[in-house]
Amino acid sequence: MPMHNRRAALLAAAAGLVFAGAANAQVDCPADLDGDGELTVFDFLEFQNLFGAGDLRADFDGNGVLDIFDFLEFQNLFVLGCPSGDIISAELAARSLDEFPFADYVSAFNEGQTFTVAIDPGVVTPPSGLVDVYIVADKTAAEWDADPSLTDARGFAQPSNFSGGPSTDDNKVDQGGVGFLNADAGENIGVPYDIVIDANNNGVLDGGDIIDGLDDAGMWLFKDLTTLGPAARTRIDTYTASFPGIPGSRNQQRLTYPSDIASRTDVPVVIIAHGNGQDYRWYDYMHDHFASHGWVVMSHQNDTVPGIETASETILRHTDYFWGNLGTIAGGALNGRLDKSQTSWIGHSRGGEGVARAWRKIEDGIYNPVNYDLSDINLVSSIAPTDFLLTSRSNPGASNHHHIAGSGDGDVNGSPVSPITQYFAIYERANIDEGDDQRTNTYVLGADHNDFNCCGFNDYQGPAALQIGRAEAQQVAKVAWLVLIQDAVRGNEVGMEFVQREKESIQPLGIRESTNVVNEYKAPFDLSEKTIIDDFQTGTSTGVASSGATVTFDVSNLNEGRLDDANTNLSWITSDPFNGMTRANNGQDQHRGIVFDYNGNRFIQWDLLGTTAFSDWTQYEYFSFRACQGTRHPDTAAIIENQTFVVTLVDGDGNSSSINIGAYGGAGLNEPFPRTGSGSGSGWGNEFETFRIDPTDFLRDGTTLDLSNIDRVRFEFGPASGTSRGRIGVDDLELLR
Amino acid sequence: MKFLNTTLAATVLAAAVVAAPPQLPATPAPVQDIVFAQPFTLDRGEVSNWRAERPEITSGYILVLKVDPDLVYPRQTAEPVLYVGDTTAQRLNVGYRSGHVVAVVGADITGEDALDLSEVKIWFGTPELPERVDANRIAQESALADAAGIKPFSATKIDTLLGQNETLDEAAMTGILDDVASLIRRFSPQEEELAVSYDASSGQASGS
Repeated sequence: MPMHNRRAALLAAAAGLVFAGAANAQVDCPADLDGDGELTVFDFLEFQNLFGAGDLRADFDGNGVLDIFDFLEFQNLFVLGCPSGDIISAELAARSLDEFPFADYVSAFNEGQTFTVAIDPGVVTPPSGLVDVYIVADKTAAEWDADPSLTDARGFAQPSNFSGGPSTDDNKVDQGGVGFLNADAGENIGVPYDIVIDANNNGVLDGGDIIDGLDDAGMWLFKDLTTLGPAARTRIDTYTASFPGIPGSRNQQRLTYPSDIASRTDVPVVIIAHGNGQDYRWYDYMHDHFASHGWVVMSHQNDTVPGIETASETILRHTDYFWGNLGTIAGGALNGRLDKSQTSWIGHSRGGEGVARAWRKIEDGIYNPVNYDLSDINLVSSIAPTDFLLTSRSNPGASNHHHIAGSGDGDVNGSPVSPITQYFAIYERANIDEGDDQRTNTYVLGADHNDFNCCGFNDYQGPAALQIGRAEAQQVAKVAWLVLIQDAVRGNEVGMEFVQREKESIQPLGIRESTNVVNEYKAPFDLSEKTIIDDFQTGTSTGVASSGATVTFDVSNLNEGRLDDANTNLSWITSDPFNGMTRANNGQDQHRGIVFDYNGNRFIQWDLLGTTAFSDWTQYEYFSFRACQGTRHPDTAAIIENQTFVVTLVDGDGNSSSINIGAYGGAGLNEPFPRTGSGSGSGWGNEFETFRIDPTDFLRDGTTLDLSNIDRVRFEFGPASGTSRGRIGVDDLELLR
Repeated sequence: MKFLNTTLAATVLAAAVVAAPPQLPATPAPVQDIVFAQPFTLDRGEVSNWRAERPEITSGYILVLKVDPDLVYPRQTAEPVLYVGDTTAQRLNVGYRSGHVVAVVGADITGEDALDLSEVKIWFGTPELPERVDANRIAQESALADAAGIKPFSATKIDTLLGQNETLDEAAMTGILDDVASLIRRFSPQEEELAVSYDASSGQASGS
């Protein structure tokens, strides 16, 4: 949230309504009884006069009786003094970091887990002495204006002492009592709060206080997203869908809906399409999870054995049947209760490719739905999809696309052995043109293909000790889908942090700490909302970015090209520099990036263009890029651990500020999943993960850097910056508003 | 996240691969036996998605075939295509656990062009999506099967099987699904769940 100040007078004016009877008293300074803006002996005399006259304006404890306690309260307020200055709006709720920038001002936090209130002294002067920190149920700015009183949701404010030292690290106070904070949002998934440092300890938000959340919420507390929501559920085990083109042998649907559907409206719908040799009754964990959060869930038989064209036809037509027959399905219980424009498709394996193909068929006019249209499909999620039909046909295009797969998949295994098995390929086809929606990738390390249903064969391949099992894989999947669908249908963007931040940064409740998930996210392709520094799609020389920025480097063996493993195995050979890249499939996809290695202190730098779009980073919320380690490369194999490096910004005056990507809670580039096969060596496909850094993090502690005039962005590698050697892939350097 | 410390890593890597799917057998591969055959007719045909030409099926045979289970292990990648003579067959169950596949093959069952099961090969061909298989591809696969020495079953065997079952005359494809469900229960009882779904499909229950 950008920092901004608001005039305390606004609040005073609003509060004046509350204190309308207090003649002459400053409304935000009740002890100023003569109203001259100062606390002097004349205020004492005025109190004495009012008290002596029996005037209840002297009833400072508000109990209707004038006694010694009113005097004591008056005295307390007099000592505290009148609030002065503006209310200061600043980031406060944070994850504490051990190194610069010392605080990660995120918005999503887990229920019951300690978080930090951190003051950046470069932005706000920390209050002196013991001050109360309040965690308050979220209010809008208007609500704060109307009622500035502070009520801590824990039942008590936390007295806190910010040292006033020069670093944010000196001014962090972990908040206790978080167990008293409610994260029960019913069928929603998070509860918003505001954070207030009550600098004058008067229990009111007023001048000099610091607030995180004056406009939007300061933070959100999320429940355990793997747990069921509160809605009771009704299931119809199976019923027949009769619609032209649905084969008689594939005509069954299964339905789960909130039992109190009769009292609901605008209910979203999730439609699930299984894969080959799978069954429409194998996804009850999704049925239960989604329906318990107030959604309707339908899974259907999918005609997958003939192929993807057939499977996609089944998906399209089962969806058509559903939306065209609400008057009879479940005895008409759903009729008039649903919101067709909030339909999500989730498909598994061949069904995962099927949903992408289904989207494309509508977009290309190959299939014209009778009872819905493309705009009604607001999420297309593919679980470990095959890629039989390749670029032009299995292409989710502009959709809000999600991909989830396991690194231990023994079926659609993710290796370059065949175009069919490269599950990342469909994901990469989303979000490449202006107007395309966001895309999200959830890569579950140690999960296999059938972990995402109840009953398929265990096909896990990989180190036995790293197999996470079906129950755990489904926990991960439930979190991803819950926040994705909440975002898609209810606009809860903060929940998306669970799939946007690194797992080390936001460990979801209900998932084992040892379970490793690699998150990748690309914001909607909207050039009014982002500026692309380099996506490597144009400017194909290694010396020029797609934006036209000059690129210089001394990293070794830098190659720019298609993210396509050139052969059919993962063995490292120098003639295949994009080894392990299973993103641009089979020569048809054109997604590009760079790979390089280092064994010593090295850098790559983008000299920006000097135009406002590139140099003024104050307009952006995030600097985002994705990166990965290069599997089985000698420099990767030499150090099997997370790789870290430094991101440095340099302004037009030569000032610089640096952040190590490992600073954000042990995060870094994940080491490749240590699976063997597909050639010699150990390590599976390259695991791109997205890093998003708030540009203001570079300003922490008053670091001298002109964010409005950034000249260069540089990645620095090697022992002086993090991991001593490595092989790296990089893509999609973007600035996001 | 560092997965494991170095010592443990060596142990873990040594214990890799815990549940690999079976390797795909070589194709062409014959079915091992034919254990059931029954002709059927439909008043209302159904388009078959199991070959590129999308023919309408109005008659044909329900077959139960004994097969090498590894040929029908459910895979998302391409699977061996089941051929009967000059067309593809629709597999209506998985059959991995039982080694028995229930299939439907669309064909004329009377007249000059009637399919004579004793004169045609039944085999698994090159892994592919059936919806992409056309007449040319079938001819190629048939030649490969011939080269591999795959032969039709004997007329005696076929006649015996067909003599055990009368022709099913049904209004639509859903009408034969209860028979398919029975065959699954008989020959592939591990797939009871699938049989239940065919019961539902054939019952034409709707919206309840």
